[in-house]
Amino acid sequence: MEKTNLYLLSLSFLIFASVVAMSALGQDSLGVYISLFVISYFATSAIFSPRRITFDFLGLALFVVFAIIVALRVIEILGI
Amino acid sequence: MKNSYQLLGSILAGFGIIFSILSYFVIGSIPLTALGIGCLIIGVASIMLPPNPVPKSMVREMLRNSATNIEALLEEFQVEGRALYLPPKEGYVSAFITIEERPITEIAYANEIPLRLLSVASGSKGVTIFPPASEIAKAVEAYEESSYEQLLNSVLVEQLEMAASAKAVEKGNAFAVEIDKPKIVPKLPRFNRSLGTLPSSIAASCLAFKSKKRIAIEDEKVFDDKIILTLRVFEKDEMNKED
Repeated sequence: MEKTNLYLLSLSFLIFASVVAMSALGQDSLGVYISLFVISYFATSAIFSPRRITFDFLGLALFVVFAIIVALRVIEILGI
Repeated sequence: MKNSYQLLGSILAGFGIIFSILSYFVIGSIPLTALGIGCLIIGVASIMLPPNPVPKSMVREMLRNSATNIEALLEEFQVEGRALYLPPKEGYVSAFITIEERPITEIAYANEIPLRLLSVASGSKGVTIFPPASEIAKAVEAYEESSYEQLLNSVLVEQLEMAASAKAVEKGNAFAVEIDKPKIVPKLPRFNRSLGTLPSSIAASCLAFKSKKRIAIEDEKVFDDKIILTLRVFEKDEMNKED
């Protein structure tokens, strides 16, 4: 199977597995789901290193979202 | 399918946006909202993938290198004859070229041409090689349903971007092919004389692949902006008659 197809299949599998697993555990925070999606995206990108036609703006957007989620959680823990 | 990643990606991304908005504001379900966002991520990731994972220019260079290697081989064996493109065996189109110059009809009706580098067909010594695009037609989606012209356009124009357009007309036991604005016509004297120029050789390989018949380039006229080819097809009935 082509590397590009494997990349898409792996990413889809990880994202859907995250949704099924987290919903089965009764997770009700959107931040947790998105954090798992971000990890899945970067993990599959690191393993398969797919060629892209543009700069990886999705990766950048996901990284920013992930950073915001983590920052909010840190603020919550510190009680600022 | 052309740009299948972009098409799939757009559908998934569109579905993801609508599904996540509806799930969050109407249904109020977090897992379904997450599912929509997941679809959006997969869709956008898919849109960013190139339609052809291997750049076309690289494929063209690989074909040119393959032709250069064949030129070196033909030079080594001092090959003088014209190529007979053989129907695919184990998925590969091959070409038999007599070492001495012989009329193509002498070898075209040979019973079996062994798939060895050096072999004999109808008493003529020759070399069997795999032309540059010996299995490229196999990669073209739904080549079996397409016409000869569609196949040539798919390979030469869409897959390799080697020409602006290609036309093919079947006339009895011959094909008339016109390749417009060919991009790569390497100066390889023996290759060009025996197998035809690179675009013509690819066209002959594709036609041999699809028709599953023996094919030879009977006439080739190379102009600055086009190549006009006449290819002769050797029918099985005709071959049996000769046997």
